[in-house]
Amino acid sequence: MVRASTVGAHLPAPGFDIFGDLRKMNKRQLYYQVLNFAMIVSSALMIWKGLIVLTGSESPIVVVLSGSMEPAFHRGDLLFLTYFREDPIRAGEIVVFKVEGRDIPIVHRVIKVHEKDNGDIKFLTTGDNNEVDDRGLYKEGQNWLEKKDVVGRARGFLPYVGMVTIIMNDYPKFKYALLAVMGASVLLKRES
Amino acid sequence: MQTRAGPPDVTPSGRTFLGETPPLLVADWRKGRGRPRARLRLSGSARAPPAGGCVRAAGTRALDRVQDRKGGGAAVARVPGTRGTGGADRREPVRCRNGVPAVPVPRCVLGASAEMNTVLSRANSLFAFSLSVMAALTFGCFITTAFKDRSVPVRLHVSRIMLKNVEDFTGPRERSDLGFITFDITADLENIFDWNVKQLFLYLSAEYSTKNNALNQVVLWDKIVLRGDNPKLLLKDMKTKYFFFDDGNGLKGNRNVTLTLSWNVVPNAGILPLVTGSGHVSVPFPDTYEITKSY
Repeated sequence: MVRASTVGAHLPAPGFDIFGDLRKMNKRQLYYQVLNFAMIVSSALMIWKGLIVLTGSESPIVVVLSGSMEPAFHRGDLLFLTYFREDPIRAGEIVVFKVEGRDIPIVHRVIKVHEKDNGDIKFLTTGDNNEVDDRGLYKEGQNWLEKKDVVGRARGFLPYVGMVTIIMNDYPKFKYALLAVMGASVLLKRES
Repeated sequence: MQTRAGPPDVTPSGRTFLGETPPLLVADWRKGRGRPRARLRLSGSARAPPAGGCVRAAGTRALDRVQDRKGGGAAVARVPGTRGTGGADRREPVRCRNGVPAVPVPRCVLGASAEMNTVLSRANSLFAFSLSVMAALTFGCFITTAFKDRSVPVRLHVSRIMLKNVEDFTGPRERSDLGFITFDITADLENIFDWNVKQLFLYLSAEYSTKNNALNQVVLWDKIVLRGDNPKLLLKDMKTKYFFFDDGNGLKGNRNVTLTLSWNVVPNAGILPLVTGSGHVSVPFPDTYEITKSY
């Protein structure tokens, strides 16, 4: 029967139907979907850049990668950094610094500070869990760090949350899959 | 299992539990009741029919449009394909064919079948709920201890000081002043610990100024006190853990070297404050180098 088959045709076959919403949309709705996606992406970017300005640090949220600061920070913990350059570096502070020539920043504690009259500071760092100071990590012949090497001071702490970032770094396919799923769900689902 | 009389539920495959095509649809069309359902084009938006009710796909769309006309509020996107349904459908009360009023059932787009959908959506809501509970708890931990004063009085005493001048083997290979100090610490850290303190990183630092540098700070000794460890510090005749090298020769004859005990509070979640204990000791360093004795 023609009628019966037409009636039966609207019942879905088993399986995912992620394009269901998309099929119903007219052009205007499709533009809205794309705009919605763009809004989300730019909001995220704005929040990130806003945080950079607010905290004064180029990398306001970092994930601890190694165990050199245990038992305080373990691998996978999140650190919130600020860097207000008026505040001088003092002994005991936890600073995140980048050694010249390397891009991975290091989170360690300041143990020695020598400040001159004109404000030039040179300081030495070490990891709480390390036996020796960081001179082995610095550049060849470099004995001290300076203000320009500092990315920020650790001011806040959140445990375990950074594990997601570590997993995404170790398995890039997972990162791409996650981004694809999130992008698809925003683009294809209609907000009711 | 069907307990009530009426049209059997329709499974997504189009077959009823009894294994036949839904009789009500074909039968209704044949009897000419209402408009032929075949004319209602559903524009291929395939949906799983709601369980527990009659086939409501078309009727619910009429429900949307009836509400739209009455309310005149938010613009409901007009679904192409249902335009040509004519006026009669719009004004019809929303009912199933057997007279039972229809209940609009929320639809799920990303579902394979009714059963799979429940498991996924339950897991999803469980996960989201536990995540938000944990986030709220973490925030509560942070906000209840964020403004607490973490300072306690500390008593420091230095019993012995010695000064040497040797090549700095820890770094720059220059002859620098090397100080040796024997000290005592008395402090009660019990009031600092609470539900949000994971550990305290204690460090004894010496602060002084020299000709070369306006300010020098050197950490001489540190200790980690975890929550649960004995919070009362009663240390006597402690030697420095780290070498007290100056950047130059500024310790010789230095009148004022101030020792303070500070701690870094490491929370379970929240702010990492650096607190200095109230209580310090200032000592003068000797004017001469000790050459013969060893520490």
